[in-house]
Amino acid sequence: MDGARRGRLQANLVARLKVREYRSDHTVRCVAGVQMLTPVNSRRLSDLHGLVTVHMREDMRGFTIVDIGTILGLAHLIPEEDRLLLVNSLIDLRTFNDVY
Amino acid sequence: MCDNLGMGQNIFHRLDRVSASDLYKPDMLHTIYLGLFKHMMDWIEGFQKKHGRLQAFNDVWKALPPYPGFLVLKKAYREVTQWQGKEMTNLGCWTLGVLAVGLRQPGGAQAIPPKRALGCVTALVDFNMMAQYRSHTRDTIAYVEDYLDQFHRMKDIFLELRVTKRTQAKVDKQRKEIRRQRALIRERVAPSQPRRISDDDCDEENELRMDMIHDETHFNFIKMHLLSHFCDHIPQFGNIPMHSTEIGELAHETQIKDLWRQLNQNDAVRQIVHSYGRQHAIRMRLLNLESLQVRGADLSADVLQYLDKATSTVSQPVIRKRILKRCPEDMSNVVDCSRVLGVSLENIYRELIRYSRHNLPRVHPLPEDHAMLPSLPVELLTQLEIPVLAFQEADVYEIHRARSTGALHFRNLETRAVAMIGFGYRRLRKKWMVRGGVVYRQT
Repeated sequence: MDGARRGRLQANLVARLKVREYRSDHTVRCVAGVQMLTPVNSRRLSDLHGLVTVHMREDMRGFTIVDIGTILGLAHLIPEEDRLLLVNSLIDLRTFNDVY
Repeated sequence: MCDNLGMGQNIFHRLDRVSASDLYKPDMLHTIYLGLFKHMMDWIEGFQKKHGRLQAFNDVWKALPPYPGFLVLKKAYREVTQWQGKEMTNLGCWTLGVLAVGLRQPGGAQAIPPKRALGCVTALVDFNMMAQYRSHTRDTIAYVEDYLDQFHRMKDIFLELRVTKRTQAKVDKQRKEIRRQRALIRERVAPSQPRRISDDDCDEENELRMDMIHDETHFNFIKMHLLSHFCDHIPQFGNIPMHSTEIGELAHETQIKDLWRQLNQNDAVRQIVHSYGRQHAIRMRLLNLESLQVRGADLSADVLQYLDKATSTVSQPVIRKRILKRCPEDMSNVVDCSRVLGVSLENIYRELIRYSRHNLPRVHPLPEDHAMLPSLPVELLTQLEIPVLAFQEADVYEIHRARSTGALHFRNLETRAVAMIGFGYRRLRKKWMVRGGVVYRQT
């Protein structure tokens, strides 16, 4: 289980790509290149405000390729200092119900 | 009960099956959005000013990233002349985050007052979120009660900011009197101890000031009291949003203002009532006919022809489809992709192979040979539309448009599109779908 985020991981969307398999059946795969954000505070909610904080790396470490079907939606991140971002789980009722 | 409320006799007492005390319905628009949220913003501003963090708060406020359904803020809270109910609704969604960042000290340390202030705002915002649920269980009602209790326990931190002019005048008068008496005493004190006496005086003055503020200031206003009826209302009458005056005020635009503009304003009331009545009757008739058509009823040919031509009054379900928009960037293979994205080739190869092994069927994997991978055809796309199922709805979708900015930053601050990714793990919504719980639904 991923702490308070209940299996939902935040990532920076670097690019969306279509990869064509040209050798066999020319199947097109829709994938997304994302840079995963690192959770801080052991993935727990803050005692102060009850929000999760994540950290974005400056380099491209954490870059990974995922299927676009795994992207659930947008997250609202409030920039803090030192590339830290607060995951605003109060932005809508769906997120509020999911992240706690 | 009515006697306790001081209602006295009124016309409702003579009506059958009417309880005057139950006639009030919680109104989220005026009680929370235009009531307590407005008070809360005043308290927050005063609190930030007191701790010298107002500028940081405003900076974060103006740098908020966009989100579907929200306008990007360009002005600080105080710079906007008038906040409407709809805007105040959204305001509750980001205030806590902005306050948390604004109160954050450069060293990361947090003092006790900000902690209590954050706790108080958190409780109020959580209460507001839970009150918006359209169906409830006993657990969710308990959550609402808990958040309200927490809010009442912590709101004292803002008491100082509710000082009226009259109380302030009393405090000033008291301070002057203390200082006058102290000056008389000081004449007899040895001049070798002035500093110690001054510090003690300061503490004593502050203590007396706070005592007076606690005696004279309070949170006893009607909107604060009305919150206590929210929890009782849900089991009796259903969810709270359906009783909010927001619905009526929004209908004012379509039912009255639009018709006023369309008509010639000659005996306007009668015209508006008749026009709206006719339009409403036609809409109802169309809905009935469409419903009959769906059930396969025997309708005449001209009615069917009309229904085919007429715009359907029933909203069509959104097709669950992800739309990708192509980027004009000149990119045809993995090598170009690496160059454009600024990601090393080795990194892309490794991730493509990992993706292929974990996600693709074994009969159609991507090539793993490093000699073939560079020539793998790749297209770069900029936009992705993700239909997201609305909360507690079965067929209503919100469209999230994710755009990648690459190395560019949104409003010169942080990255613009950040996705929430799930890896196949879904769980029951604890707050809503509780097995064995009693569900109160809108009828």
